[in-house]
Amino acid sequence: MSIRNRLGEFRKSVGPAISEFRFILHRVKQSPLSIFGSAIVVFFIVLALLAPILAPPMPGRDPYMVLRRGEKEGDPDYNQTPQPPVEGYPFGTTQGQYDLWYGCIWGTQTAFRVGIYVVVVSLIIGIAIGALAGYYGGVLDELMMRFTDIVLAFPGLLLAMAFFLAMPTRFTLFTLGGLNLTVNVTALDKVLIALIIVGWPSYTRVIRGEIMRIKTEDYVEAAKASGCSDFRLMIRHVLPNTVFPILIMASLDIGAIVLTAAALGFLGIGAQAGYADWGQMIALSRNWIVIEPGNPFKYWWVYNIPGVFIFTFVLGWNLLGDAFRDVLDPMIRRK
Amino acid sequence: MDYLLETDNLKKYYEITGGVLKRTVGEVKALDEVSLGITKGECFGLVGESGCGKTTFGKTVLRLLKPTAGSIFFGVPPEIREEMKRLKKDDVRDPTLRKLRRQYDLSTFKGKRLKQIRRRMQIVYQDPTTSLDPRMLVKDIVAEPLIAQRLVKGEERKKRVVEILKKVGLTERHLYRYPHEFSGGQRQRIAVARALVTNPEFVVLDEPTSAVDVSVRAQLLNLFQDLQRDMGLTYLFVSHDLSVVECISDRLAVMYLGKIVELALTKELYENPLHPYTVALFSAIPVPDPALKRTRHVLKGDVPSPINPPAGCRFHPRCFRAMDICRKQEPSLKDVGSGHMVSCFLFS
Amino acid sequence: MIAVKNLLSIEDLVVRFYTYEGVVEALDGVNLNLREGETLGVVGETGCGKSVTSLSVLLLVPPPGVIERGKVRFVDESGAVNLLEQDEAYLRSMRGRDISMIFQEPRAFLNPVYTVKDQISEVLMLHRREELCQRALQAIERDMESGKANVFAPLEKAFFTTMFNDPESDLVGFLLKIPIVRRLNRRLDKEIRGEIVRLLKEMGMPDPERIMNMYPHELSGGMAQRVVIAMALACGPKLLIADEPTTNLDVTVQLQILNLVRELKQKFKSSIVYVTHDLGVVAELCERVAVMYAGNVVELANVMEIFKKPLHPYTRALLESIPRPGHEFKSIEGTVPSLINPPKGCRFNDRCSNAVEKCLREKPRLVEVEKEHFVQCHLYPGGS
Repeated sequence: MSIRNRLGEFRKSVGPAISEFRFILHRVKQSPLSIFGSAIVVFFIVLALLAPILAPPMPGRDPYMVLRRGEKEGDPDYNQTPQPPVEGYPFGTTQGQYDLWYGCIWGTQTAFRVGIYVVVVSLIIGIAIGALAGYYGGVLDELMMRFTDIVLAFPGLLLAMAFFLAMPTRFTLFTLGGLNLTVNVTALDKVLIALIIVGWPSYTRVIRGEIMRIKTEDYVEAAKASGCSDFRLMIRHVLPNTVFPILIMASLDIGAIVLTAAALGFLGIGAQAGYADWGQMIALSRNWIVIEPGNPFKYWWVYNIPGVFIFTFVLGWNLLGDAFRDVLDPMIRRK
Repeated sequence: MDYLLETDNLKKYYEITGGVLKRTVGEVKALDEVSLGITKGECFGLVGESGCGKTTFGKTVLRLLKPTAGSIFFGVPPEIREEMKRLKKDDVRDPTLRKLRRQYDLSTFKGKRLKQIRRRMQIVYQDPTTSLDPRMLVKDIVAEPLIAQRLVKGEERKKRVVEILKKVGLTERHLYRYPHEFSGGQRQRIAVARALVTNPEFVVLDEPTSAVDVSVRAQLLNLFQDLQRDMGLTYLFVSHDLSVVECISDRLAVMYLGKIVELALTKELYENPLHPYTVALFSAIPVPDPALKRTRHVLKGDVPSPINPPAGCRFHPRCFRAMDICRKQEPSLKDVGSGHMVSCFLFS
Repeated sequence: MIAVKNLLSIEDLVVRFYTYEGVVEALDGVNLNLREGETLGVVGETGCGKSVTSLSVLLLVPPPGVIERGKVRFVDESGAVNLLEQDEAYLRSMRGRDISMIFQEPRAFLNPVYTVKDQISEVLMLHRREELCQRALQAIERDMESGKANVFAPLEKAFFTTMFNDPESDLVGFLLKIPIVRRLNRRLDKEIRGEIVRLLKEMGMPDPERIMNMYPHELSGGMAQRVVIAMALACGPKLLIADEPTTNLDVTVQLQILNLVRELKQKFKSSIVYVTHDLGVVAELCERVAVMYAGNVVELANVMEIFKKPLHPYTRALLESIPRPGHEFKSIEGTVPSLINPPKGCRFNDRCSNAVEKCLREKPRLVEVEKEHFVQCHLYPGGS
């Protein structure tokens, strides 16, 4: 087939998909909360992308380490007491004179990283296990589901903490006749891994349920009657039809994961001190909430501002997840 | 007899598990020793009400369900069948018989051999809304069997798809659309196109006209007949709509609770129904003629579930001609003349 | 000739659905009438609007559907009222009592978490509360007179009198929720049970006591449909609207239900609107038939006339497309037009073998071509 033909084919295939997408947009537009949620998420994406411009890092230094007041000028201030917002430091500084503006803006990137990495990897594990369990059923199903149940039985936060504390910072993946594969993990990576370990079971159950439902649909059986292999059935027929419920779960979960990571950060389990992460920012504010009895708001900016960032971020993703759920319903009905 | 498809005492039982340890507490006898043969080029009708096993039969014969017992023979030469019948009569455990079964009996096929057979046997489902993947374009839906069977590639594949779409009355313009953009009748045509794209010999039509309107029904029935002629197909037409089956099938079998109760040429069966269930069934069909007067046999009770079929003849609790023997023994299919088979003590 | 009154008459009903793809002109001026005591069949294929018409009578058309204009005249105790102009309170008192409806899938109609008894008693309490309270009161008085009453009798009497006089009273509602006081309800319960058993027996159900305590999923299709019919007829409605109630049932069960409907109609003297796509059922059950196509009633006549002397081209084509052995299958060319941008003029014009130029421009009106035989087609004088 010539290139022009291929392009034509592609364009023709994409056409109906585009009109489907337009229908989705139309549905989203119908609910003001969905628009609001999407707007929030888009806002944060833009914020994350513009981080280098909004809060310029110091050259030659890891941009994720928050700058202290005066560090760019070469004269870092180590005063422990936070300073309120002033010219040049719009969010003020927190304990150790870390620039809150810098921390929160770059923290947006971290938040996305944490949310997306954890959700995507949990999804992959969840799909792999859930699909096998749901599709094949029987003993395999029982084994995998009981294992999932066991993991789910542990209190999530505690389990994440335990894994975090137990994980070594460097470990050898394998030694193979002279070849050594060692991996260094940073503190943030440890948090991600811990959250993944704790997060995958909930996906597994949902995906297994969806797959069990779709497995019995006529079109899957028809494909089997045509001679499709199990693998092809899964990839081509079953999984694409589970996309929407997964999308809903994933977007609701990103918010939840970021919240959990922030909670862990507050408890001291998270990225290293001075890392640009909202949870870290709040952790630094711990001492300043009750410092002055009777007036918890004296240093309001140290916890309010990162708190607002977290709250808005999670709200945005929650509303987006609801938007997806609203769209899913009429798509079913329409078909 | 030279049959294209033949089953021998085909059984399909579903186990019901219950209790904490999931032990088998009962069986759903969906198919219970069904033996019939379909000759090449004929349209064989299979009728009955819900729970009778007709859809189960269609799917089991295609190996979409695994039979519990019994044999399925597809395209087996008559000499071999004779040999097998002879051997079976002498000794069921004969090793030659076992070897022949492994070679020819569809119920023993696995893996690659099964996949190859699927090329030759296909199915069209009742509801075109659920039998087409809503997320796939028409061109992909119809090309799927070709891809799965690795039959043709690229340009050749596209040509085959367009060819078969034209045969069912659709055009190239329909390739790049989603199923939900079509009407019920058109969707059913897409389903037929998908079934025929690998040039099969045998097609199971599972209530293909039940979910469409009356005016579209005639279009589809014409299509089925034309395609049968053009492509030399053999049909198993499963339906609960007796008026449709009367018009399209050459021979007809009536099923009740997993067993065949009567089997005959269509014309013969409609003119001379013998089994009481068949008589009741035919009298229950509403006829679009307000002036028609006839005796209606209203059966008592509901269609029983195949979990605990009644002892003796399965129909005896509802039969208006039940005798004493019907309660105790089960009748078997007997030929009462020129291929008209009935399973009833009134005729044996 | 005794003039038989019209119980229900629908005039010029227009219903539109406002969807993403556009405005669906579902009903385009539907006209039909139902006489007292008759069974009217409404036949048509998918999308012709027969279900929407039946839902419109009780204003149950789901959004995004809107009843734009038209009249639905129903004759109740006070005379003829236009249902479309009535308020929700009036309609609620009518639904289930004067006009009842049954649907295609009986088990979808029944609440899966309540037993049969609970569901039928709900209907009874809604519309026949006074009657039942009165019977309970009478039973109490009889007991008191004959000396069989116990200590609670005066309490019960007061309770039921309140219930009778002021069914919505908060006191009654409150008392009914207290476990011990609920025992006062026992007598009412007994009355209700008795009534339900009687109803179920009339439906031809074997063993009503056992069925009463079952949940909908334990019932077979036929039994569930009988329960639904029992609920619909519990209050002796004047009009029963049946929307394809036997489509999902096996043919032998369908025969039982159709016979039942015929018997009950005699007994309760109800009038029935029976919506279906099955011409056989119509021929068996109905006295008059309305044939619908693409949102219009195209022919309305007595059942013999429709089947033996169909006048509208669509009716003729429909009857011819019924498969008959030995004949080739005759289908109707083309497909039902989309109702989003319906064709101008007669909506059947693109498939009609008798279409003339006028059919493309002007929509015909439903007129009486022969005695009691209405057709909407330019072929017939008076139809233009």
